[in-house]
Amino acid sequence: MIILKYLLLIFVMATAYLAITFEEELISIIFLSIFSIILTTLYLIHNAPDVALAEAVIGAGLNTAIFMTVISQVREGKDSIFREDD
Amino acid sequence: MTLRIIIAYFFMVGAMLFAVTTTVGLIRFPDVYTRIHASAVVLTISAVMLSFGIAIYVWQFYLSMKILLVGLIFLITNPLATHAIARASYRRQIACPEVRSVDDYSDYLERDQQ
Amino acid sequence: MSKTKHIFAVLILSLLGITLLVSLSKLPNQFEYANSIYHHVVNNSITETGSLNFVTAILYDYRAYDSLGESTIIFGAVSGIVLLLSRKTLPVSSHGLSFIVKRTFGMLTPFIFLFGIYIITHGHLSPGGGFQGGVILGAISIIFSIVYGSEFDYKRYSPTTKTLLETSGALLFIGLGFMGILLGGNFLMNLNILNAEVGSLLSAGSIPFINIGIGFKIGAGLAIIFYSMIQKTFKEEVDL
Repeated sequence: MIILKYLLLIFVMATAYLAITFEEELISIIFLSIFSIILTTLYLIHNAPDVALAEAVIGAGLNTAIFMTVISQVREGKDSIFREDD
Repeated sequence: MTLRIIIAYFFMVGAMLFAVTTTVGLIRFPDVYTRIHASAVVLTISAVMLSFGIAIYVWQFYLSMKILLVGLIFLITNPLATHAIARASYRRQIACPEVRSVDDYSDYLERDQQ
Repeated sequence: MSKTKHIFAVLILSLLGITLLVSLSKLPNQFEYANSIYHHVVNNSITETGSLNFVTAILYDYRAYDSLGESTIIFGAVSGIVLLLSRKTLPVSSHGLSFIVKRTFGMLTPFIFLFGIYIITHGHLSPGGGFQGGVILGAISIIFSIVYGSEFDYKRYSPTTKTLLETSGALLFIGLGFMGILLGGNFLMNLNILNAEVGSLLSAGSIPFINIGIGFKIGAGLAIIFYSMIQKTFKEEVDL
């Protein structure tokens, strides 16, 4: 169990680093989502299932949708995500 | 170490092997469609096998049913997400070859528009 | 990014990681702080509130006033975002995703709704509560907007309905608070409405009602935020 804790901490730091260093915003958002999922596991290991549920729902679900919406609004032209029916 | 535990470990180790195969496929395959293929097919069966293994391992009725429901959700939503990603990347012309001999999906897309 | 920025990022991240590691390893063991509020909550919470989940007991009974403040913050955020982003009230549309995704989510959405309701109403028995379940309910509106197009979302679950749900949730919360004063206690006192035995669904006083109020308020508020962000995106391609 203690090995799992250290491994998850290393993964949290690695995903945070990847999320801030990519130039492309979409990849950063996906890495932020992965960061939230790993943090959920970390909360669950430390006996906090309430916080884990909130983190999973908000961090991995809602944040991704809202950030993607914001990016589709900020970008112009053909690059926007939800523009056509695909 | 009863027979039930051994069957549960068998399912879990199988799921782990499939997950490792997924990762290898994600790294080694060249473009988006083959990578989607790897992640969809193999990761779905990995998640379902893992849920089977855990459901056999805990072996209480309601808890096992809940875990099997999680596996069922995986079985439905993972191919769905794969379909959405593949369709979006086809419509965006991501990693499409210049010359194609067969292109049936564009006809289908035009028919689906109406 | 330049090389110094990379080094700076790695430095700050490793510092934060070491801090997290040290503070996680110093989490208190059980019964380390005798005679503290922790001791009181662990020993007396079930008999005082009737809630099996200690976190819910703290959030919606001992510190219910703080939860009222939090939901006021959410209300302020929703008001600010709607004020900034709502320039047009037209129902604007996109086509949504493909046929397979629409049909599958048509089968899945009732179960997502059921899961949200389960998390809200079992907040005093299992992990979860009003906030988490409310976010799941708000995610249904996001699914409607993305999968079926925002015109569907506007028709099935209009902004008026969302506003009504949010306001009724907040009014339920504040009404339960004032009910405590009317019955001769404190503001947000735990009323003795549902008094079955501890561990069943209809127990824990007024905590399930506060859960339901907060759930509807948070869910409708987040749905309003998402709708007001997405409604202007499709303005150019209105072909109803």
